[in-house]
Amino acid sequence: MGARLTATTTALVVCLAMFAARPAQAAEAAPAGPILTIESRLAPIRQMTMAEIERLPRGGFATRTPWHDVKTRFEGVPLPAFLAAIGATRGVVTVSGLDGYVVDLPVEDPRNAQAVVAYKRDGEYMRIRDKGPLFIIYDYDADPALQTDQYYARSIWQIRSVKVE
Amino acid sequence: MAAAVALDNPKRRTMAARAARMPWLLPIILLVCAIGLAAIAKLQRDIDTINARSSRFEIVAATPRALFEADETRLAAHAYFEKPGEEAAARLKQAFEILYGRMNDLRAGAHRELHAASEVARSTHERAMDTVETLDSEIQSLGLFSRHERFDALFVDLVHNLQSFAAEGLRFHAARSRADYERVQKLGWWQVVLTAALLVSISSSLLLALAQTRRLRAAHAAAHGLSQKYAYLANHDPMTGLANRRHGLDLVERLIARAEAEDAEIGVVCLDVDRFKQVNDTLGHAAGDALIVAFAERLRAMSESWTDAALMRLGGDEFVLSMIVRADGPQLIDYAREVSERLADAYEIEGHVVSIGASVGATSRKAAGCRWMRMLAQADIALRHAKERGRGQIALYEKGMFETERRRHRMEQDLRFAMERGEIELHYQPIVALGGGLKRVEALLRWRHPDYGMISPTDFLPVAEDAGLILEMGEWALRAACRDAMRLPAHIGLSVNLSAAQLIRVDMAERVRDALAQSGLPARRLEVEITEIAMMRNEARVARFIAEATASGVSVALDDFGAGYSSIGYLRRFPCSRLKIDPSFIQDVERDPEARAVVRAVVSLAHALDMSVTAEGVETQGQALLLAAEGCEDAQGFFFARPMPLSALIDWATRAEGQGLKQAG
Repeated sequence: MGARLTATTTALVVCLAMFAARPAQAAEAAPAGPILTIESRLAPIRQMTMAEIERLPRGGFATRTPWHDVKTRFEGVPLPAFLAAIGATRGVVTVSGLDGYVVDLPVEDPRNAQAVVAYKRDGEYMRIRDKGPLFIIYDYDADPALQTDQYYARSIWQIRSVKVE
Repeated sequence: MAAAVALDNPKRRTMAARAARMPWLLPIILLVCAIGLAAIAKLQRDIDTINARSSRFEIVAATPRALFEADETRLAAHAYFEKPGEEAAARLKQAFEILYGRMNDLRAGAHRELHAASEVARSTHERAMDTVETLDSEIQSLGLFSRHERFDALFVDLVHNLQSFAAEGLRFHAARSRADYERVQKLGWWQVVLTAALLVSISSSLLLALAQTRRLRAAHAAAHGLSQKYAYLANHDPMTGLANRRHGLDLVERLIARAEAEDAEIGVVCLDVDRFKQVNDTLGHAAGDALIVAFAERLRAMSESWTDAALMRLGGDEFVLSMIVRADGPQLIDYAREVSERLADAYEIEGHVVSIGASVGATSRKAAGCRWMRMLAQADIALRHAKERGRGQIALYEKGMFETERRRHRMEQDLRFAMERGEIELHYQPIVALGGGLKRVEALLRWRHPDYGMISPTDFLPVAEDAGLILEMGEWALRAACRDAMRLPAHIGLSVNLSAAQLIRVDMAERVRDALAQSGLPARRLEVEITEIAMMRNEARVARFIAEATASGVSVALDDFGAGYSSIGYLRRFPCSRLKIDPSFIQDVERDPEARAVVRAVVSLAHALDMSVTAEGVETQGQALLLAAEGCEDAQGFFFARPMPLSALIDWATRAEGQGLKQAG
C-alpha cells in the first residue's frame, strides 16, 4: 500500500481496507518481545511476553461494547487467573495504559470472573490502534450491572503495566 | 324507655353519607394510588437512566486526549527528524498508534450520537481521519520526514479539525446536558405532581374510610337502639312496663347471686288482687286494666324503695316480688306486711274510688342453693292459704302447707275417679224433734278414699268445687238421696244440701223436680239446704230458685246460719221455711250466757219470720234440754246420732221407733 494516493481517494482506500485489509490483518503476528511490565513490592520488576501470557488459562466471550459497532468476540486470560498469575491476592492492582490512562482493579471483586485480559479480538491479535495488545473486557451483555461507568472505567486498553500492592 | 338512636349532626352527615354510599369509590381510589405509585417509580427509573448514562464524559474527555496525543505524535516525529534511529522510530509509531486508536474512538460509543446529530462533527472528524490516514501511510514508510513543512501542515490541519470537532462535541454535550437537565426537571415535576395526587388520594381514601366507619357506627347505634327496644318489649309487660316472667327470672338470678355472695336469704312475695274479677265485671275491663296499672305503680315504687328487690308481673293480677332478706334488715313478714298495707289504700279509677286489697303469700330461705321456681310455687301455696282465710290476708309458707297442698292435689286427682269407682257414698244423719221422734234425715256426702279413709265433705267439697266436679257430685247426691228416701217410712223427710255452683244453674228447680219424678218421692218430703254464702253468690237466681222450689212443694232451709254474715236482710229476702243454727253457737250454749242469748234471739227472730229452727252439732243432753227450753223445734248432732249409711239408718230408725228416742225431757 505504499503508493501515494490523493486525499480524495484516501477515504475510499479506508473503506476498502475495512474489507480488503482484513485478510492482511488475519496475518497480524503476535507482538514480539516483552509487552507487559509487572511491578510488585515483594518481587523484582518483571516483564511478560505475549507467549507467556498465552500460556495462562484461556477464556472468552462475545459481547457488545461502547467502542465497537457490532457484537465482538474477545479471547484472553480470565481476570482472576491473570491476577493469580501476577501474585495479586488482595487489595487492588493498579493498571496503566500506553495512553497514560490508569485504573485500580479490586482483586476480590466477584465480577472479575466475568472479565478477561483479552489479547485477541475476533480471533486476531490486536494492534495498538485497535486497543491492543491487552484489553480488559467485561462480558457486558451477560450482566446489566457491568453496563455501568464503574466497569466501563475499569475496561482499560493498551495495557502497559500492572502494579501489585 | 330511651331508645336513643345516636345520629350525628345532619349537615356533617350528608357529605360523608353520600361518599360512604358509593362503595366502588374506595377501590378506585386505591387503584389510582397504585397506578400513581408505579408511575412515580417509572419516572425515577427514567431519571436514573438519564443520570447514569454511561461514558458520556468521553465526549468531553476523548477529544482533548486526541489533541494531546496528536501533539505527542508531532513531538515524537520532530525527535525522529532531529535524531533518526530505531528507538525514535518505534516511539513515533507507538504514539501514532495511540492517536489512531483514539481517532477511532471519536466515532464509537457515545460519539455515535454526536455524529448522528451534527453534520459539522461528521465532516470535521472525516477530514481529521483523512489526515490521520495520510499520516499513517507516511509514518509506516517513514517517507514523509524529508519534507517537514508538509508534515507540519498535515498536523495543523489535523489539530484544526480536531478543535472544531471538540467545539462541536462540547456544544452537543452542553445541549444534551441541558435537554437532560430539563427532562429530569420535567420528570421531577411530574413526580411531585404524582406524589401530591397520591397524597390526596390516600387522604381522601382515609376520609372515606372514616366516613364509612362513622356511617357503620351510626347504623350500629340505630340497630343497637332497635334491638334495645325489642329487647325491652320482649322483657317487659306492655301494660304495666314491669318485667315479665322471662326478664323477671334474669333479675332474680342476679339478685340470688348477690344474696349468695353475702350469705343472705332470698324472699319471694306473691300477691293477688282480691276480687279483681268483681272490679272487671262491675266497672269494666278498662277499669280493671287501670287498676292493674295503678297496682303496678305502687309495687314499683315500693320495690324501688327497697334495696335489692325484683318485681315482675306473671300475668292477670298476679305479681311477684323477690328481695334479699338480711339478718339486720327488714324480715320477710315486714315486706309482706308493707305490700299488704300499701296495696290496701283506696284507688281512684275512672272517677270511682275503689277499695281493694291484695292477698299475700310469702316465703324465704337461704339464697345459697335455693331453687327460686320452687320458692315461687311455695309462695303461691301460701297465697292460696291466705286467700282461703279471706281478703287482705298474709300467709307465710310453712312446711305443712305443702303437705296440705300436695294432699289437696292428690285428692283432686283421685276425686275425678272417685265417682266412677263408687267411693262417694251418702250417709244420713237423723234430725229429731226436740219434742220426740225422728222427723227427717240430712243426706251427707262421704268419700271412702282407699288410702286416707273416710273424708268429710268439708275437706273434699272445696276440692270438688275447684276441680269443677261439684255439679256432677251434687246432682248425683240429690238423685241418690231421693231414691234412698223411698226406702224410709213415708213420714220421714229428706234434707239435701245444694252447693252454690248448683244454685247458679238456671234450671236447678227443674232438676230438683226431675229428681223427685225419677224417684217417686213426694215433693213435700224433700227439703233443700242453702248456705248464706251460696245465696250471696247470686242473689237474684237463688231468690228465683227458692220461689220455684217452694211453688213445687219443696221446702227450703237456710243452712249454717251464724257461720257467715248472719244477715237479717237475707232472712227477709229469701223466704225459707227453716233456719239451721250453726254448730259454733251451740258449742258454748251451756257455759256462755251470751251464746245462749244469741240462740234465743235467733229463735225468736226465726219464729217472728215464720220459720222453724233446727240446731246443728248438738253433742250433749244439756245442750238439747237448753235448746228445747229456748223454743228450738228440731236438733241434730252426735248426741242423737252420727251420720250413717242407709242400711244402718233403717236399723236405727226401727230401733228408735221401738225404744222411743232419746229425749230432751
